[in-house]
Amino acid sequence: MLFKLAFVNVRDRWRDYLVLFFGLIISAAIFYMFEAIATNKALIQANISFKLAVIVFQFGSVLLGIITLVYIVYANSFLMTMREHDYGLFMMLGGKKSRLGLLIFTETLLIGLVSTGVGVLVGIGLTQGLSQLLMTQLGVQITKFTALNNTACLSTILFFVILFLVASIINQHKILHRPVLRLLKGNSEADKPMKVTVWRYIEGVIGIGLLAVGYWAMAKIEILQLMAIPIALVTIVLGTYFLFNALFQLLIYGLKTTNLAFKGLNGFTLGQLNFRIRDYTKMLSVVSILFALALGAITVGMGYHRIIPVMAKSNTAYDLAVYKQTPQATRLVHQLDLQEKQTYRQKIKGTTIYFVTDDFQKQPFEMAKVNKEKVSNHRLTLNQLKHSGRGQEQLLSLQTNYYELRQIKFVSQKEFQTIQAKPSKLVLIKTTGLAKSAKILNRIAKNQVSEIKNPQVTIDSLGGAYPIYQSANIVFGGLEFVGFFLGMAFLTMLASCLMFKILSGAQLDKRRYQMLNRLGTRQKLIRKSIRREIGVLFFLPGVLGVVHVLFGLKMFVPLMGNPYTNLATPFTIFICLYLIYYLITVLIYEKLVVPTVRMQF
Amino acid sequence: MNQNTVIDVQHVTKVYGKKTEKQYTALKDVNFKVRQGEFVGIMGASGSGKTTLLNILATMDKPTEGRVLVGNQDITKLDGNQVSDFRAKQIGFIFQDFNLLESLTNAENIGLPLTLQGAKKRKTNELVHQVAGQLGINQLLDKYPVEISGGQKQRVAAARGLISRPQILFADEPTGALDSRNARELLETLKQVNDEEQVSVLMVTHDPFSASYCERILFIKDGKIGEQLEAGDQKRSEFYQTILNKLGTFNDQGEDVDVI
Repeated sequence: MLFKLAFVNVRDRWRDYLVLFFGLIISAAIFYMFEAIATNKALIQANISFKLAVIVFQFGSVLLGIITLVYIVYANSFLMTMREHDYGLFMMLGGKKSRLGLLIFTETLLIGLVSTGVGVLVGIGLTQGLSQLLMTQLGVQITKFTALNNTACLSTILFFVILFLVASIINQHKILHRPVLRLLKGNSEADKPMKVTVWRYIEGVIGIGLLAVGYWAMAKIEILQLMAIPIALVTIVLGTYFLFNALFQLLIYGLKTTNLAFKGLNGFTLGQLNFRIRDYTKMLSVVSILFALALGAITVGMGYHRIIPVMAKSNTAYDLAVYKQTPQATRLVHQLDLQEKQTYRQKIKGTTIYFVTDDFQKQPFEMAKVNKEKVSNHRLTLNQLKHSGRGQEQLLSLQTNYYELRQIKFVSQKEFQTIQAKPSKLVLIKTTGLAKSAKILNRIAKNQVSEIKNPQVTIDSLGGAYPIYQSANIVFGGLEFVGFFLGMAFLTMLASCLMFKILSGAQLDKRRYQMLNRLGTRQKLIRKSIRREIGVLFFLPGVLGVVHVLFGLKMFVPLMGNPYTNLATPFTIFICLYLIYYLITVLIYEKLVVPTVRMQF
Repeated sequence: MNQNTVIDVQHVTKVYGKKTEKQYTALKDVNFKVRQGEFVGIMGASGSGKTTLLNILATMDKPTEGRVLVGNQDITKLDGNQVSDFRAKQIGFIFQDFNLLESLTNAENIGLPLTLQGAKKRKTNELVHQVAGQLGINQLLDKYPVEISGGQKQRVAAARGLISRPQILFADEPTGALDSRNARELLETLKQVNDEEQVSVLMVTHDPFSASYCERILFIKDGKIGEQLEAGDQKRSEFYQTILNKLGTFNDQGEDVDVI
C-alpha cells in the first residue's frame, strides 16, 4: 500500500514532473551514450588511437555526472515543495517519521528508476542513430557497432541510482525536520518584495569583485596551474549569486523610478520581477553557470576540431609517405586528388640515409612552417635543404624507423649505386585536402603496414600528416562530440530548471493576471508583459553566461592558441536553442495564466 | 484528574516571534476542560486565537507556556513517534478544505491513517466499511474525491478522522465550505457519532448555526477565553437564539470600545 501511495503520487503529478523528467532523461541518455562509446570493444579493437578517446569520453561522463548531481538535488527540492502539503497531511494523520521517510525514499527512487530506465532506452537509440556520425567524425570504420552495451547499461543505472539515493536522503532530511504546520500551510505565504538597503550595494560590489578574481584566475592559468580551476569555480559561483541578489534588484529598482515604469504594463512587469528575483536568485545563478558550461563545452569542442589540420600539417608538408609500391598502393594513389607527388630513391646503411641529388633538383622537397597558427609550405632547393636543419628533420621524420636514423647524405647517382644497401623508393604524396582524402589514405596506410611486415610498424609510425591527423581526429573529434553533447545536456537541464521554476509559479500568478483582466487590461498588453517578464528571466542569466564563457575561454589560450576565432557558429546554435526554450516557456505560461475574456467567478 | 475529563488545558500561552523581534501573543493563560463525550464549540472572530488553540491541542504546534493533558499524558511533551501515535490513535481531524488526496479513492483516503501506521490491508478494509456504514457513505467508497460533492467530501473526511476510533475529534470550520443543507447533514452526523461513540468533539467555528449543535461553547477573544454558554436543557433552536443574542452583545461591546 505504501508503494502504491508513492506510485500514485508520482503518477498524479506526472505533468508537473514532466519538465524535470525531461532533463533527467536527457542526462541519463547522454551519460549512457558516452559510456557506451567509451566501453565499446569493437571500437577499441578497431583502432589503437581510440584508447585516447576513451579518456575523453570518460572525462565527459564524470563532468556530466557532477552537474547531474547538482541538477537532481535542485530539481528534487522543487518536487518536494510541491509535495509539502501532502507530507504535512500524512504527518497530521499520524504517519510515523520512519514511514514517511520510507515514502519519500520510495518516491524519489521511483522517479530515479523511471527516468534512468527511459534515459537508457533513449540513450541506446541515440547511440545507434549517432554512431554513423561519430564514426565519420572520428574517421573510424567498423562494421559491427552495437549500441546495446551491458557495461554501459550497468554503469549508467548504478550511477544514477546512487545519485538518487543521495538525493532522497537530502529530501528526507529536509521534509522531516520541518514543523507540520509549515508543511501544511507553507505555500500560502506570500513573498515579500525586496527592500533596497546599503547592504545591497555592498553585495553588488562584492559580486563584481569576486567575478573579477575568477576571470583573472582563468586568464592566468599558466601561472596558477591547476589552482586556477578551484579559485575560478568558487569565486564565479559566489560572484554570480551576489550579482543576482544585488545588482539586478538595484537595476529594477532604478527602472521603477523612471518614466518608463509608468508606460503601459511596465510597472506591473517590473513589480512582478522585483517580486520574483529574490526567490529566483539561486535558480538564476545556477542557470547562468550551467549556461556558461554548456556554451563553453560546445565552443571549446568545436575549437579543438578546428585545430586538427593545423596540428597535423605543422611538421610535414606531405600527407603520406608510400614505401612499397605495390599494385594496390599505386592504384589507390591514382584515385587521390593529388596536389603534389614526389619520388625519391633512397638507401639506408646503418644510421645514414642516402638520397640522389638529381631527384631533389628535379623535384624540390617541401617544408612546412608554422607562423601564428597558419601553416605554410616552402619549396627548398637542394642547397637550401642541405643547410636547413628543420628541412632535413622533416625529411628524416618521413621514415618509419625515424628514431634509428642520424644523418642524411645527398650523393650523385654514381656514388648511390656503389653504396652497399638495398635501394628503395620513397613516394611522398600531398592531396588537395586531408579530410576529403582520409578514406583512401587510410586504405593506403593499411596496405603499407601490411606490406612492411614489421610488427613494430603501425599506421602511427608511417610518415606524413595523415597518421597524426587520424589520431588527432579521434581525440579532438571525440572532444567535439563530447563537448557538443555535454552542452546539450547542460542546456536541457538549465532550461528545465528555468521552465519549471517559472511554470510552478504560474498558479499564483494566475490570480494577478485575472485581476488585470477584470480591471479591463487588453490581452495584447498582458501577453506583452508576460513575454517581457519571462524574457528578462531568460536574458539575465544568458548574458552573464556569455560573459563567463568569453572570459573562461582564456583558459584555453595555452592549449589552442586563439580560442576566440569562429565563435559565431557555436554561439548561434546555442542561442537559437535557448530562444526555442524561451518561446516554449512563454507559450505554456500564457496558456496557464492568460485569462479568456469571458470571466469566471 | 477526573476520570471523565479527556482534555485538560492548563495555563496555555502562545507567543509568536523571537524575543528580539516584535512579539505577538496569540493565547494568554488559557484554561479549560473537556469531558468525555462532550461536544464543545470554540467561537471567536478571526485573529482571536481559536485556530492557534486548536493547533496546540492537535499537536501541530507547541505552546510557549502551560500544558495540555489528554488522558494522563502531557501532549506538549511528546516527541517523534509518540506524536505520530497520538495523532493516529487518540485524535481525528476534519479540515475546512477537506484535505482529501485527489489521487486516492475515497476508501483509500479513509483508510490512510491506518495505512500510514502500517496496518494490514484486510483489517483496514474492514474498518473502512464499518465507519463508512456508520456515516452512510458506503456507495461512495469506490469513487474518487473529484466525483463527489462538497458535503460528501466532508463526510469522507469525517470518516477518515473517525477510522481509528479516537477519543477526540477536532474539527476546524468543518462547514465553512458547505452549503446550508450539506452543513446541516454533516452536523447531524457529527452529533450522532458523538452520541453513539462517546467521542468528544471539539469544533472551531464562527457560524452560530454550527455552534448550536454543541453542548457548550467557549468564546475566545484576544487570546483569552471569555464567557461560556451551556446548552443545558434548551432545544437546539433555542440555543441558537441564545448564541445569536450573546454574539450581539459582543458586537455592541466591540462598538463601544471602538467608539471610546
